[in-house]
Amino acid sequence: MRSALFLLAWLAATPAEREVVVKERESLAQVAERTLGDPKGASELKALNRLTSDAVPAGTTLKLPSLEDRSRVKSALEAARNAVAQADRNAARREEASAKLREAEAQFQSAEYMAAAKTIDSAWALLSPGAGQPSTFSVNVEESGDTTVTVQTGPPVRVRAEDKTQPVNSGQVVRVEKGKPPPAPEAVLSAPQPRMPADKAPLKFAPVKGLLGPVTLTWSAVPGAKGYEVEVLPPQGEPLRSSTLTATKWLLPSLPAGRYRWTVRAVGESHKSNASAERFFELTEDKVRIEVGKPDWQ
Amino acid sequence: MLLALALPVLPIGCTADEKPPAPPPPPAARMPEPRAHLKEVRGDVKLKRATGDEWLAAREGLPLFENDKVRTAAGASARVTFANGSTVNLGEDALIGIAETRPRPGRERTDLTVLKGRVDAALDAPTTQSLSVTTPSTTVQAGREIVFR
Repeated sequence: MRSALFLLAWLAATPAEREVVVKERESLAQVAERTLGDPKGASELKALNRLTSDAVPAGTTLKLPSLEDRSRVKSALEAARNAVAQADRNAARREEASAKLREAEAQFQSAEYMAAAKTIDSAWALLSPGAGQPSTFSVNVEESGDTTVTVQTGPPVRVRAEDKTQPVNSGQVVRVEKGKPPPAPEAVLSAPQPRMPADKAPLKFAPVKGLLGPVTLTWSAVPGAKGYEVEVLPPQGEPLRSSTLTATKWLLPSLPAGRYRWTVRAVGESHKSNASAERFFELTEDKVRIEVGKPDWQ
Repeated sequence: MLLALALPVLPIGCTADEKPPAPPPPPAARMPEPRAHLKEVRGDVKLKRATGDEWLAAREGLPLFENDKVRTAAGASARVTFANGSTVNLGEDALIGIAETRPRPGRERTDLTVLKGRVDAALDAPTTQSLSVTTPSTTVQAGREIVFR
């Protein structure tokens, strides 16, 4: 009994050799589709079994590659293809990386998965626009599980979900929704610069129903922004007013006299920029001028 | 079927009723290698060991092993330094797992699982280092491409 347990442990530790028997009138591409789910895998079966022809007699037993290894290298190849396609056409080592990618494709076709993985690795190293720079990135997970990945510096980061790998370069951001593949990354939005009113500006208005205003807030446009979120707050505490606008100004509804701070952030397709630096303004009542004309009777 | 497979490995001249020679003793149990260490612990940071159910107060310099979990409360932060030199800063209200050995089906094993909150990662030498971070919706791989571990 103990011997049986040892054998079980050995079987678990050693990947089983996978084989398939060719059926009557079955082509190598059909065998590849049946066993690997990919008719293009015929070349791998041919290389792995040292076949000289695509015509294999029925009843022939063929060795099959490990599905796990093949799938990993296939997805790494796909990610490298995307990275080459998205790389700057003028990047110094793009051509060299493309050549490495072609070499890796050939190794994959020959079922040399380990060699292909190493070649893909060197293609990545060549392609990385931030090669030599430290890699810095942030990962933010919301309560829903949706994740935002922002790459600050260094070579591309690979974001993988639902069998799709998306390279994300420095200065880019991607938001992955649970159960969906990663979308194309966007440029990271910079924070808008507040313009008017000037910081700590005292603003005078004649009160209307006890309120002062309106104040016009303006800020700089941010390339790639779809809109702007503005918040007006008291010196301490929660926002009193907020709005999302497409323009770079907001005619703020009237407020009671007092000191206020405000911030603005750019809103993109899938993410928001950091909030701008806070700006302050102060609303005070303007002195009411009473003009008395000369009486006629004088 | 399993029994049929097992039979050939029984020693020759040894019937099923006879006891086979005792197998060699298993190697002495070794302490697992820490996967990372906790640094720069600020505020309320808790650690749950893979072997325990209790959340304990985290301290600077504590080693982190596979399947340990770390969480930060509001206003708290901590840094996790991995054995290969890559670092991850945990923001407030974050929950992470270290190198989970039982990932969800279809997911590859990773260095770090982020279940909640924000982490900022840094690799000083991405050509030689790698870091993989799994979340409920994605896996992020940075640095050197590693297909086979």
